[in-house]
Amino acid sequence: MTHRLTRYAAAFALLATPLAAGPGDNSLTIGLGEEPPGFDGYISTARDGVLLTRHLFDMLIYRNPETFEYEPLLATGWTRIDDLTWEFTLRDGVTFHDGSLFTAEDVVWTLTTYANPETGARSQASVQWIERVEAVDDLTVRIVSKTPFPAALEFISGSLPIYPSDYAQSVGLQAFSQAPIGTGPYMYAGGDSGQFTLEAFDGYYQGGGKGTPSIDTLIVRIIPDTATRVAEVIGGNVEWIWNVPEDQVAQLDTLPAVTATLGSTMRIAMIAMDAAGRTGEDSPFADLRVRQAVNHAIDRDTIVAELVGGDGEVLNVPCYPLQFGCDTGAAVVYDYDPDKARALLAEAGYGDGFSVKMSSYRDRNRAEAVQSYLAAVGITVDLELVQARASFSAWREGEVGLWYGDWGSFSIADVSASLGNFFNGSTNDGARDPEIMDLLASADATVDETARKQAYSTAIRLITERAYWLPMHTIVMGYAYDSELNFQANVDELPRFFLASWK
Amino acid sequence: MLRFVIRRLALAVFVVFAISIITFTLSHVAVDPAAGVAGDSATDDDLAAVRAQYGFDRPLIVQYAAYIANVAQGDLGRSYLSGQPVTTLLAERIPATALLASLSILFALGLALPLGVLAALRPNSTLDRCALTLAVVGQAIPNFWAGLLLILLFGVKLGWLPISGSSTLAHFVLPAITLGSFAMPALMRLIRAGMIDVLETDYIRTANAMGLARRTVLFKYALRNAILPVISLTAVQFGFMLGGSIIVESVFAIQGIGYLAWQSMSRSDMPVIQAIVLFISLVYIVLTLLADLLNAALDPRIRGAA
Amino acid sequence: MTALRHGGFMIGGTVLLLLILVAVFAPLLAPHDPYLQSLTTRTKPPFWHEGALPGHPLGTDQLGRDYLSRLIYGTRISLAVGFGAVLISGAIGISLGVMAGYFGGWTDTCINAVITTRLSLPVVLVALAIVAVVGGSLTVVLLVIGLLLWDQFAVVARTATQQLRNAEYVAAARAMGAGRWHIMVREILPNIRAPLIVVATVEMANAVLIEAALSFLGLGVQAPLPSWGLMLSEGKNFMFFSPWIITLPGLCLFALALSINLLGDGLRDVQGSRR
Repeated sequence: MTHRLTRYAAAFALLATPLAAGPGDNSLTIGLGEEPPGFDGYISTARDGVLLTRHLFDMLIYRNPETFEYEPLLATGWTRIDDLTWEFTLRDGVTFHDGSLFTAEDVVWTLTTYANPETGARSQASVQWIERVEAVDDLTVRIVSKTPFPAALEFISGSLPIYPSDYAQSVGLQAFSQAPIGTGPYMYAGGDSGQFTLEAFDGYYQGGGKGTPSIDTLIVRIIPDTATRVAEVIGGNVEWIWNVPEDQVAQLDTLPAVTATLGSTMRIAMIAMDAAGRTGEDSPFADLRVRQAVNHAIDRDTIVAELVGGDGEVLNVPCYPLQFGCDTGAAVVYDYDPDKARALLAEAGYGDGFSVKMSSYRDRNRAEAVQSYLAAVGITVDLELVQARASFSAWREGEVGLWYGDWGSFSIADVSASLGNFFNGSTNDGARDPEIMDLLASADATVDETARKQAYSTAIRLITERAYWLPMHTIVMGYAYDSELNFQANVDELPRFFLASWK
Repeated sequence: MLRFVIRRLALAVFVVFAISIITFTLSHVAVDPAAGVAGDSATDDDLAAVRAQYGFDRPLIVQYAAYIANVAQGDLGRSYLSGQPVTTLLAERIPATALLASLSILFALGLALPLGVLAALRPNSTLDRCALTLAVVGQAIPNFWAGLLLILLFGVKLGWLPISGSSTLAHFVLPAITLGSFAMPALMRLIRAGMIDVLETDYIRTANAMGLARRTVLFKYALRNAILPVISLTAVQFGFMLGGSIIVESVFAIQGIGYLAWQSMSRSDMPVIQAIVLFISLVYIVLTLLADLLNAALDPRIRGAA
Repeated sequence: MTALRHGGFMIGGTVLLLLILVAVFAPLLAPHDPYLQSLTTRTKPPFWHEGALPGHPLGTDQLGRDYLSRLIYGTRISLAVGFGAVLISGAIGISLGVMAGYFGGWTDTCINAVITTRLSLPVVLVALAIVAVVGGSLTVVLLVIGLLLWDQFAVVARTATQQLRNAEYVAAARAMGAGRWHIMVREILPNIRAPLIVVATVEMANAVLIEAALSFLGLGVQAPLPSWGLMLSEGKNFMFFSPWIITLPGLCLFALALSINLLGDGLRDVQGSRR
């Protein structure tokens, strides 16, 4: 609080204009849309939070964004000891932002703490496979899983940052979340909920997959309103934003000072339906014909052509096509046929239509377009367009019959991270189909690739046959940034500022 | 005078309790508080456990008493979302809103006072008509629309002023104009009307006839007397601004309590919403109480009224 | 001066009447269905820009819906909220005010306390909070605003009633044995009409602007209804390259609020000069 007051006093003293930022002082001002709930990477799992986690902390392994191959980061080597155990050789001489030395103890403490469900990691799927973690010596660690877990390396490289055990234990996790210390290329340099700074860590080790950062300072500003964020980029006060609406990108790119692009992502959008009756026993979506009607009612080709842009595509599977196990051939495909949709609804006894609540957050236009297509076949949609977190809650707590959301799979290239999260009986699962749940469980419990592929293909066939979802399209991410900035967007939807530089 | 003060205080206390009941109802009765604490993936067992742990299964009266006791000690609960104490969240953001509201009132008064006085001096002149037009326009403009237009013109096209954030004083210029433009008309009219009434009174005419300088008459006598109702209205408008800041803060990305309120509403973070409504109401009650007492002290006629 | 000679009154009254007519005859006036989307012809500009589409004089919005039609139907929503909220708040406020003014004593003190409580609540915040809990819709917004804006009705009704309480005709009615309710409804109400109508105009303008603000923040009327506030919120992402998308609905709101205010001011002036 005192910090704020002194700042205002200083502001009063001089009616200042904004500082000369950007290439002048080798800083980059970034605009994000939602305030992170702290910096703890196991709690702050929204995409903006994942971005920050990657800059403040390191994982054991680095997955190359272009080749998707694993490279050394905090671990210099790794071997599989048996079906359940991976052994990692840790890098020597790595220090945390506070100068303390990184050892196996930190890995053991971090993973053990968060594998414990009571600690409250938001994505339990990322940690619940861990049985125990043991230090063989100061620089060697073994991670043991409960059952053979094929996606172990994916999660280790994607979702499991390593924290300093001494510091985190002494201040407690709540305080750690407000003032984080990690081994990442950038360190937290203070700020508050509206604006904070990350500075390049000059003790960062050489030779890791992330390289050495060129930009000295990252100034992160939270600007929740999209229009305001875009205005700031146009005005040059903010130098990088994402989540730019697709129709703005082409127009922004015409401005000489701004470069705007549409990048492909692994994020898939879907309309999930309440087949399990969480909203009530009389949920219309418990009837297969109603679900099939929804699949026929929406013109996805037009939505993708007009409202998605870039190289977005229509999806017919409940996963991202490049993920391991995502067999596009196994799916039942529904064509756009509103007459058939109406006939199916009439057959199911809904000839007069019905009303339903739908929650969405990503894009208002697409949500309203879907609302309009459903209205044309007699389904009146009460649209709730809210922020991402609230929308997820509404779906998970069974408050809405339809959910038009999307899922980035934490950029993990395995189907267990996409449909594995939505048909496993968890709160994400609107179908609760025991046959599919069993198939997924069996695929999770073996490392035999053929057996896994088989199980997943069958699951995909069943999911599409039973029309639990209407898979919609891939999501294209809009970026807009200063033309003087060298920046590369990646398909894993993780901006890497440690690889960016000023021209 | 004492009787008046006591009655006024009693009223204020009653209102405080009434408001606390309303906010308590919003957060404990309208929504299930157990669901808010337990979070997204709570099972029925989790919910039952939370209910027992936090005492949500006790009779409402008991919960209300506990709530009041906590508030009295400064404990406003914890945010469902971040787990942080609400008092910390509020303390971080009150300075921004207070600054915004103060600057807005200054802007509003800065326009209203000179315009109101000048208009009163020359009733029905062109200046008067302009001032009245400005007042009517200011009252009819939707302030979020005005904010967007200001951003478009001054922020983007001309690039004179910063658009979002709250780091320097310059960041508050556009928001203060947007917020203040709603209060300005009412204040200006009140000053104008008050001045017109006062300027027609006998003692002002006497002062003028006695040859006192126009300026002295204006400031020492007329304005002093016309200003009284303006103090009350200013207090009221300041209170409105605290409540109305929600729109301006979200458009201009100012990290104040109005914006915090909107974020909390989008996520049903009831403890925060309830605390903000309570806080703003309290400020309003205190301000109007002080304004009333000040008025009563300065103007004996008011103390007599029921 | 009479009402008909008062400039502001006439302008305000005429514009308001026009808007009411537009609302009533919307289906005849609007060239297209305001809900009809056409994803292939999105964000077309109005006729004075190049690239405009014939048949859509004010262009199309971000889902290809005809803008002019949506603006026209938007009058229905704003006027519905305006009139509806005023009816509700008027009924509540006037009842409370007349009772407080007529009975005095403890009734007055209690009602005064209730009024002060309502005045101390930040209206927009409370409205938002209620809608956030209950869910947004035209009915909810109308009810919530109506239940929150009654304070000025109560205050003015109370003062006016106090002044009339001891008037001759009231005393006469009492002497003839008329009951309290009869007196309040038959003798007092008709005679306090004038200032209350002025209050009604002020609160109507407030109601229209508050609904627009709630819809703008996403906690008011829901898509796909063509509320002007919602159109502003939907359009603000386009304002840099297609500024007409936010100027037009804003102008409509401004015109409506202005005309109501001018009407009210005119009424106040006319009443003031009669006394």
